[in-house]
Amino acid sequence: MTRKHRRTMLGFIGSKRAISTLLANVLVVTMVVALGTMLFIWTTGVMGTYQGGAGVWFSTRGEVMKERLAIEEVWFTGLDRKNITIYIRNVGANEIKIAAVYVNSTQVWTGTKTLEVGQVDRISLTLTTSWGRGCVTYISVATLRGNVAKGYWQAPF
Amino acid sequence: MKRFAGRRKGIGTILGAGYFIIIMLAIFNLIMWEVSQYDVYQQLVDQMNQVDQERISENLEFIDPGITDFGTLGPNKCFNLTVRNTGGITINTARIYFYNYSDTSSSALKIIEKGAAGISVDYFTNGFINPGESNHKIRVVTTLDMPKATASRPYIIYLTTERGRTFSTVYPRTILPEPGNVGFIDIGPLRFKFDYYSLNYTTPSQQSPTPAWIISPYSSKTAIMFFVTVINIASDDDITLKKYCVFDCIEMKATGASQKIASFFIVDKSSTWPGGSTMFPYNEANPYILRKIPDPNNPQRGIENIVKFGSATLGKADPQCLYTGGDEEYLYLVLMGFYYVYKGQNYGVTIPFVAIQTKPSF
Repeated sequence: MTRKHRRTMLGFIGSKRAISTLLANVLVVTMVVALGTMLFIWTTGVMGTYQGGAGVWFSTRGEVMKERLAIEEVWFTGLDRKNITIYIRNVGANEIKIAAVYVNSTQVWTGTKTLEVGQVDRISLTLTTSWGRGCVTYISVATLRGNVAKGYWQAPF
Repeated sequence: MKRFAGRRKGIGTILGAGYFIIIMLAIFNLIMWEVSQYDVYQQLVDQMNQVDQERISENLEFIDPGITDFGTLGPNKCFNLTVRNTGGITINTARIYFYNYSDTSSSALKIIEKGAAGISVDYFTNGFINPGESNHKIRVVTTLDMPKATASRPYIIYLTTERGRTFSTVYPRTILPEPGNVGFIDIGPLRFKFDYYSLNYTTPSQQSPTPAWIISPYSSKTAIMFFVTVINIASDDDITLKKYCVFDCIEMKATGASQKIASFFIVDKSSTWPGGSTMFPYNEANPYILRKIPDPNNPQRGIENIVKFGSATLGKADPQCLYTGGDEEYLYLVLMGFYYVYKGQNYGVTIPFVAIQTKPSF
């Protein structure tokens, strides 16, 4: 310890106002550490939550964006005219899971049919009532991620 | 450093500054992360937009008569599908569907796949069509007997591409003549066809629709249902038919049936033939809706609809018969009353339609 420091220490011990100054310093430092830590923890939490939500959003939107499906052909068939066969092709960049098929806005098929990229597959529907000859039918196919392919097809005469 | 160590103030400031810097770095890191994520997402959006743009750039035309160069290949038949690529990008054919439009059996649809090892029939070759290429021939090998296709029993050909577009044509091609020519009568936005298969009938013994110009055999008190082909030629709105639509058959002989009029009211579109569980009353809550022309520039024009008549009573499904005085030949003049809603307004028209006849035996 240098001579100057020794003198300072002695002066500090001898001073009547030294303890409050020391305590004040300790208190300030403790408060800064405590508040800083709390702020850091809070900031980290908030940013983590935001980052997680944004990550899910980007990931989900990205997956949805990569989906493309095309209804290639709709075949009205059956002796009792209650069958429709739909041919669907995955023309996107992601695997597709077909979740539902609607005919004239009524759900007639639900399930999960997986289509790999470039794959074509068919879904056979059985209606509760016969399709009308020559009737224009509105068909939509929905995927599990929320994309919909839709269009009008006319039944044969 | 010595001065810093000797200072009695400043530790809190330094710690606070340290925390501040750490938090600012964390926020900066978050912003950079978000920017990079957005960049990745934007690249994906651009990539998929490019895919969509390429898909839209595809355009294909079938060249008349659509199918040429018929031949045989072993036990199978072969022909060329002639097309022209009018788009700005190469088209890669994925599949071809041949749909026999007049057939509802399980053999109505024929799927033609890409030629590959192990496929000996129902395949095609030469499916790549370069931009600007005209008279491109896609070779099809199949069991289908396409020369037998007729205008009244046509095939619809769907050519699908790897990018998900579908192009279609009818074989043999038929282009409907303009209004006023033989084959049509236009009244208001309604067009009635007069080709051989546009007017059909069913009875309990003839349950599949058959041309109704001469109904034979027809015996007295046989319930009958009529099928009429109607097209909405308006391009601005659909037409909804009302329950008052009627198909009136006026008997021509002065004796026997005594010039009586048999009125056949409209029945539900799911009706098939005049029977208890096969003919249903017309419900205006589930009406015939004649769709407007999807594309006014398309020479194929409007969508054909089959409207069915068969009930003796308005809004019911009571079977109706033609009036005959006995089992002999009878002639009928047919007038139709069409009541409909178009652009929100009620209309009604009388259609001078056809003249039909019945015969008791073939």
